[in-house]
Amino acid sequence: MFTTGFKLYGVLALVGLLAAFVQTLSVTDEFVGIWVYLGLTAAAGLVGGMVVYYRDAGTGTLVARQLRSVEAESVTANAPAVTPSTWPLIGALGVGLTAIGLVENPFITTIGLAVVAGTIVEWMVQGWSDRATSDRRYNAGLRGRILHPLEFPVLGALVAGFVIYAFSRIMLAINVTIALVLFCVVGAVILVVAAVLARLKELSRPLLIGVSVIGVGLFVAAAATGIALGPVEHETDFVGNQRAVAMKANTFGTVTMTGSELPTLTVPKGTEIGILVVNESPEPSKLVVKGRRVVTDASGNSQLVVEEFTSGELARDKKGYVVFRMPRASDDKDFKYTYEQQVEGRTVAAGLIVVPS
Amino acid sequence: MAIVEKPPTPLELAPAPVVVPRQAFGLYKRPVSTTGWKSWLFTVDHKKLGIMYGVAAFVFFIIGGIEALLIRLQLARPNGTILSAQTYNELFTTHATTMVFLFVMPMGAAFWNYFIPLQIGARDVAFPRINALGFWLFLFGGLFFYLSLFLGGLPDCGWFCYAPNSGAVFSPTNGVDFWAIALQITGIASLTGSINIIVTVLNMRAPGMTLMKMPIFTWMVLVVQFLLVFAIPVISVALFLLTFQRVFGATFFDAAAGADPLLWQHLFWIFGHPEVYILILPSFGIVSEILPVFSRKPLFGYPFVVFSGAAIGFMGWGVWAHHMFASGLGPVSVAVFSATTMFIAVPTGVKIINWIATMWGGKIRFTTAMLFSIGLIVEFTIGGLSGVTHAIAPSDWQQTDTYHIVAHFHYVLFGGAVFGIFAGFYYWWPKMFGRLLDEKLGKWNFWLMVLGVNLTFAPMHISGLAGQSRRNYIIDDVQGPWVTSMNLIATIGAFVLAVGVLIFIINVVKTARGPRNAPLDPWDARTYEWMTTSPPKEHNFDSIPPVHSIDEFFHRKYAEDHDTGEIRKVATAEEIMAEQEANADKHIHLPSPSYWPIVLASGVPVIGLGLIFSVPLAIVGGVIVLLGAYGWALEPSVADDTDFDPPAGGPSKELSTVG
Amino acid sequence: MSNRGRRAVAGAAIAAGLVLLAGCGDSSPLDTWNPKGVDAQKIHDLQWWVFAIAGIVGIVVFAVVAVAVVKFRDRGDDRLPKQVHGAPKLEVAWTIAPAVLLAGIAVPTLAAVFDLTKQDDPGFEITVIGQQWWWEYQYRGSYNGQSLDGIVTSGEMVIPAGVRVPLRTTSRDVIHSWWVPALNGKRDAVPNRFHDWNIQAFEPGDHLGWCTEFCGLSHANMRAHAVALTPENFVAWAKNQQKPAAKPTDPTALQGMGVFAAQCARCHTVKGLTQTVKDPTTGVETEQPVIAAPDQQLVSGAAPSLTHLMSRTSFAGAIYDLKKPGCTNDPAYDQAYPTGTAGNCLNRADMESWLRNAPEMKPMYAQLNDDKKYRGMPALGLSEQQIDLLVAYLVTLK
Repeated sequence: MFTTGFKLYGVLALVGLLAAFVQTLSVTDEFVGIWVYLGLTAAAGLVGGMVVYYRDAGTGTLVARQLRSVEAESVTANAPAVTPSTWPLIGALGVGLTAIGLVENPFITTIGLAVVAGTIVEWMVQGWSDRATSDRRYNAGLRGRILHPLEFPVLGALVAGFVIYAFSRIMLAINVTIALVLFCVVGAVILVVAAVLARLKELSRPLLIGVSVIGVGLFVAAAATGIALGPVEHETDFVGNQRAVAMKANTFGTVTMTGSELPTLTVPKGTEIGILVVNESPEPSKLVVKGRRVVTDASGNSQLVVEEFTSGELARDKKGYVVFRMPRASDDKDFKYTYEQQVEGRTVAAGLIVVPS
Repeated sequence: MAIVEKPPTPLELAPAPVVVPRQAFGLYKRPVSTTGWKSWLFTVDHKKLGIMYGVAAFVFFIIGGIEALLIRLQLARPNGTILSAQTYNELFTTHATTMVFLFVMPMGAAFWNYFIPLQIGARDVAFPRINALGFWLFLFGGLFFYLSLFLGGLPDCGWFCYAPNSGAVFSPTNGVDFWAIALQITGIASLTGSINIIVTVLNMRAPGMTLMKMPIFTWMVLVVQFLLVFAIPVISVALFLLTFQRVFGATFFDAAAGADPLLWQHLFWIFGHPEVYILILPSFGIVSEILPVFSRKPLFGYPFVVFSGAAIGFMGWGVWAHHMFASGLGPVSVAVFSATTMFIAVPTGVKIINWIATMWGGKIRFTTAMLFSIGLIVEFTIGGLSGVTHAIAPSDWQQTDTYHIVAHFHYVLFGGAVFGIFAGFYYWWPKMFGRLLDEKLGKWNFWLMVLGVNLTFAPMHISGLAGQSRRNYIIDDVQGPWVTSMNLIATIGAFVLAVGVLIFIINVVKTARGPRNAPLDPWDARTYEWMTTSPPKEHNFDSIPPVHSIDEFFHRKYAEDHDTGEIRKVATAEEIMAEQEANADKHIHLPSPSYWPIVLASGVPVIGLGLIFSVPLAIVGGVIVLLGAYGWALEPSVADDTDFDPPAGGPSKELSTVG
Repeated sequence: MSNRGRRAVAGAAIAAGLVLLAGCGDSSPLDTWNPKGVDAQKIHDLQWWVFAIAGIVGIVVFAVVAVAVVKFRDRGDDRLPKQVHGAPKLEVAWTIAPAVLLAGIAVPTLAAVFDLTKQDDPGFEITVIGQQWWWEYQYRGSYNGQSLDGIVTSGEMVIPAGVRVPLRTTSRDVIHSWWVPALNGKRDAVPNRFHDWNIQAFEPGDHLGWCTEFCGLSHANMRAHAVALTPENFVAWAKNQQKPAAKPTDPTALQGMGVFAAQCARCHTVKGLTQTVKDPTTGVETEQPVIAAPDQQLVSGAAPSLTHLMSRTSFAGAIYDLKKPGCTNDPAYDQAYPTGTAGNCLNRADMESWLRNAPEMKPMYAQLNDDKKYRGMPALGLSEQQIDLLVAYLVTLK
């Protein structure tokens, strides 16, 4: 039952597995070699599986197949069964891309190499299947059977990747208002078109293809526009520390910057404190909290280092947010925590932060 | 690749003996055993898979039950010393995870795998190999979960596993990793299974069976499948993020790095509340089948029962935050979810009233299946009403995370889901095995379980209102005599319950040793699945009879007398079977068994182990999955006659086009 | 046993439950049906009649089921009953009826939700901070002219009776839930979030509380007390809490202070605790305050402040009595409480065991983790003599 070809690839796969195992035992922190060996195993196993499926493309099987196809329907004997092929063209494109990429951009080279690799596999299987029997349809089936399990996942991943990328570009290029309008309009259009199509008595193939092509075309065009426009700056009320996810629930208190002295803040230690900052002074100002942060070095020793937390610069009547954590109580003179209002880097007002022990 | 390029071999024109090519070249044979362990391991038959689901789920039920008994023993007296704090935390985590994900869900899958094709007149599900893959993934996921016992400790974070307590800092053993990955694996099983059943129900019904003529169990299961399709991805994403955090150091739920811990709660409960309906609706479907049969009346208000089930399916998505009333949502959110939670009681109430109306005016036969169904109505009503009291958010602020909640959801899940499952056992056992479960033992089983459930869970209402907090590894005298005495009663009740379950097991063993004693139609049943032999043949039906009404079997047996208007029997089940056999289909397509589902499924837990312990192992698992998938794609669609030993004649086994 | 019997059991269980609940008096300190504060009272006013309605609906359903199974049991007659398929009008009616009933319940519920989340402003608020496995309370503002700023206590929250105090709950590690059932429902303490809540007691008294969100190993051992004092006592308590600890005069206690500074002060704060520090260059000895650095020792970054230990009634997450029963049962204890009790009151046995090996007294993951930090108090390996000295010092912390 095992063919010669399968024995070759099967042993190769086993050797790869063995080598990977040996490497796992002998090397603990280097995985690249294991990757390579396991890749070899996977590849050899796959090819071995294909080879055994086709009995090394032995003629006995092929004759039997031809006999069956003669049984099934009359086929002109000795009909040349070579399908016209686009693979030479695509292969040339791949080679060209590789060459261009060498000059321009390694990314293009990668794409070119991928195209060349794909072409080699496709062309090889195509060429082989064209000569397998004299029945062209049977040959096409053979080709599909061996290549579809490869083609569909790869193409699916490519399309999904493109859709995700394109969608993200579109979303980045528009602001919130346009996004709302777009979702409503696009949703409504899809609903209407689908409703109309559903009401039609008969669906013609050209109509469906036409609608699909228009839809895909619009999507691609939108993506291209999105890429061309680039991301827009999103305005938010809260700038500054991006870590504050639930800023509203996290708010410990509100500080209003007026240019005069800031009140003393009492905050607990060791918890994340979020302060809503409102700027009521005419100049663009920011609130800076001067705290401490625990830093642990490689040998495990911890020490406190000065750290500043800032709300970001706020124009008049704008709101901002500052998030900080005071690791230790402020009993000692070494641990005075302060916060201040700064205008263009100058401190115009300051206050004390008390952290009770 | 050994490709020899040469011109096609010229054909010999002389009439040679026709050689039939073997499609199963070498390695790619399809398995063909119809008996022995191979016939189970490689089967794609929905009935065998259903039975395997049932057996595996029941084993997990026993494991989860033993965990529950240990918990109850620990809490029998104040300051119990049977379990350490760590062991207790592990046990309540595994108890809940086992009962929810490894018992009730797969037991539902057992019933719907076995009976959906039979109820709609199909010969198998739409994707038989994916069905097998689902079962093996569930089993391997469950085994993977319990592997943690031997590889560094069971999970200790609770079945809800709230962040940040699930983080590596607060739960440093590998238990949580095993938990998260195991649930992702069983999640794949649920997801593939649900798509499979949806496609089956929508496309493979018998001629004439419109959606509103489907048996009610099929309807409820269809709703469940839609819930699964939308709920499982949510929890899978959350678990994936958690795995990523624990294995690769991400900070999605790490409060110390600034994350909002409530994110996990929202993700968990958006899955977790629909999950409740995933657990309960199959049982609702089962009792909706049983009550009409033993009341000898059709289901009262079939369309209302169907639509209330669908309404539950929709409204179930709008109530998740009632699990979070105390977690610090603003008053507006609390108010909204409080209101939606109250109103989801309406469709549930409609179901209960319709069940009672079905019994009203009937002729009730008190078989064990019927007793469990009536038991469900009563016990579930208690659970439902206590549920309304927690829908009142201020009241819930007192009750949440106390034993009052424990009492509530055990009434719903044990008194509801599990009673429905046991009703299903007694009702469908003769269909599945050709043997009737012993009714006398069945009555003992039922009454002990009713007593056990009420003795175990009713006192918890009281101890909860008396302030007993959940997930405490000890009770303390300081909590007062109500808490301590009620816990003692609950422990006694738990053992009564265990004896009830034990009697069921005895009943099963006794029945299995007995003769095939079940008549063709032991209950005077009403629906399609009874229109075949017990147990059904591998191809389910010799021919697929067309459907004219909801209770097709009943209407073939009974007809209205035109003169008197009285309904009387016009045919026996045997006569109907004989007619079907006479019109048997000549050529029956059935899927061939396959090696690949189990191979592919076996690679997935290896990936999980690799993620936890060593990345190369994950690559090995990935290679197994990949090779399994290509074997799956490349194996022939049909087993050759020559693959059988001895070579088989007769109806060929053919795979449906995909799956 | 008949069906009637079974329902009798179920009915009796429910009836018994209701009776028991009504009878659940002070013997259950965590009883949710025994309100002693305005918020708990509002919840109770809402929930008792919801329970009543639920009970009535339940009894009606069981009664109908009982009638159905008795009246319509099969009596052996072979004729089929009338094959009724449904009654759409009836169906619509019993869909609408529960909806109307529930809408009736919903209106007062929603009103109560907003009512209970509103906060009063008595001039001060308490920040409630949970960590594995104890509670810390920090006071801000002033009451009756007495400043409360800087008061930090643990285990027992002290409030003036009759005042509805705004609370802000948060956590330093995992999610906890602060719950004193006699005074109000529960509110989760979630890290990185501050949740508003309220507490009010009608009368002075001690109310037991319990952590109700699973928070790891010793979740069962994370308790709380809310102690309501008369306004005068509360002011006296606040005055005492704001004082730093005095240096002990007793020589044994003074030695104990040295042990404390060396062993305990790494994590535990005692305000006013000083240490003689010699400047390495000049050789001048000065008294320097001892600053606890729990942030370097503990995952949560905090340990209970012990400045006024003897003004509390419990320790170790409020699971052990700090005082002997003879002392706390004394009627004079209420007056002594605000300013701390004398040393002979101490429950020495439990305190010494605690100092000897804390993780044995309360399960904690008290070994160093990968970040070289503890969760909970480790076993310090103190000698018996050190323990005696420490106890002598601790009883001076009033």
